[in-house]
Amino acid sequence: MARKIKTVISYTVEQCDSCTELSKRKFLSGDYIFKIISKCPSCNGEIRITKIFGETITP
Amino acid sequence: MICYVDFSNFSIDEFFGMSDDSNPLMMLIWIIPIILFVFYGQRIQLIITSSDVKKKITELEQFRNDSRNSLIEYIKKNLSPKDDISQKIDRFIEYFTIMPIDIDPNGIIPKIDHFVRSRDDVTRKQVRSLFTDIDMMEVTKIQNLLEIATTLQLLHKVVRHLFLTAKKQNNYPLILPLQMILPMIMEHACALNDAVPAFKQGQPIGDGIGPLIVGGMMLSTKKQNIEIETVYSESELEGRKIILLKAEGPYATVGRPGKATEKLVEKYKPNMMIMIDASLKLEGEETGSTAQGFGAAIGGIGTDRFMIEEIATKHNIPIFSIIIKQSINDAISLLKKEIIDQVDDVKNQIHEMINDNTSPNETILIIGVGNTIGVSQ
Repeated sequence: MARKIKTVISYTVEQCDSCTELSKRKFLSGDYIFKIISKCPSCNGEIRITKIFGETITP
Repeated sequence: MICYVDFSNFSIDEFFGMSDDSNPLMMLIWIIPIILFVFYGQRIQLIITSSDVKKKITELEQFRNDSRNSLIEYIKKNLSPKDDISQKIDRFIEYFTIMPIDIDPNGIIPKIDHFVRSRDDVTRKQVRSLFTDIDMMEVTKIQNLLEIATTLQLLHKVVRHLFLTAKKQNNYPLILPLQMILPMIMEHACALNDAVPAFKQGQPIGDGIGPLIVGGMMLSTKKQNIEIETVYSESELEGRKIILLKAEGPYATVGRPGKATEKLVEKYKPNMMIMIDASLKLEGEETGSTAQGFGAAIGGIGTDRFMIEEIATKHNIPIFSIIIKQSINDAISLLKKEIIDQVDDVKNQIHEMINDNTSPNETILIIGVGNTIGVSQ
């Protein structure tokens, strides 16, 4: 049985605690869920990582 | 040049030597294979099966080597070991645990717990001793990567042993159970092999969904250590006191939920316990589907489950559980979107469970079970 070659791309979702603004980017080393990243530029709330997940791309 | 063959007088009986004037050569063609299969059938089957098993053993060996080399490469690249660590890593990979004698099973759980915890503590100390300066995150990551390499080593050794024994004794029936169980072993080995990148990068895994849900509920609370690599905090929900418990993240650990639950139950005397854990799905079930039930939802060797069941029975506390279903591969590799998307749904289920089964002023202990790598609180 040959194993299917699959590529998993990991993503990080950041969200502001106050205005709930979301942004999705590629995972970076050192990311973990609930890590505080920075202040929100629009409302000055805390931007936190809320999700890290993998999406599979099958060629 | 075109040749024409006349098939008009072709006779099947004559061709197979079955007519009265039978051909002795054709009879031999029939008889030899029968004799061959009667006396050497098993050996022929053994040869055919062997080639398939051999391929799988080579694959297992590759997984074992890859996980070992990947660990050594990770240490050399990212950490600063005192000296050459290859020999020490090889020694760690060969570590074994002898389970206590079970002829008299009375009191066996504390013994198993003692042996497993001792091994855990010793490995942690030895990993630390390899480096002049190493943080907790890296120690737990290396411990998990070592665990993967050790398991792959064990799988390879056991399969190879069974195969070689069958070959040595020319014993075909001995290879049959191996051939039957090999697909399951290979699935487990592939899952372990796929888990390595997630552990190296400190990414959350499918098994971490329980700690992820509870960790989210702990965000604005004061976290306190209750056991090694295990934290808890107090919260409030619609007039009820909520005690939240999980392994300490974002480290690659499952913590010690058994001992921690014993302590928290003695301290808070909760009226209800809710356990949230990842669970292996049955074939045909969807990844990320959830289910509610009763009883302690916790895997592992069984000691933590025993402790939780014991303390809950002693204090007559009902245990409710919510499971998030996934395959073995999903459970130990990078968290899938289908799984993490269930967080809000499970939180709603917890609220409903609390509202339906408790009254204001009661206390509820919520335990997020699983490896909390890449998930803080």
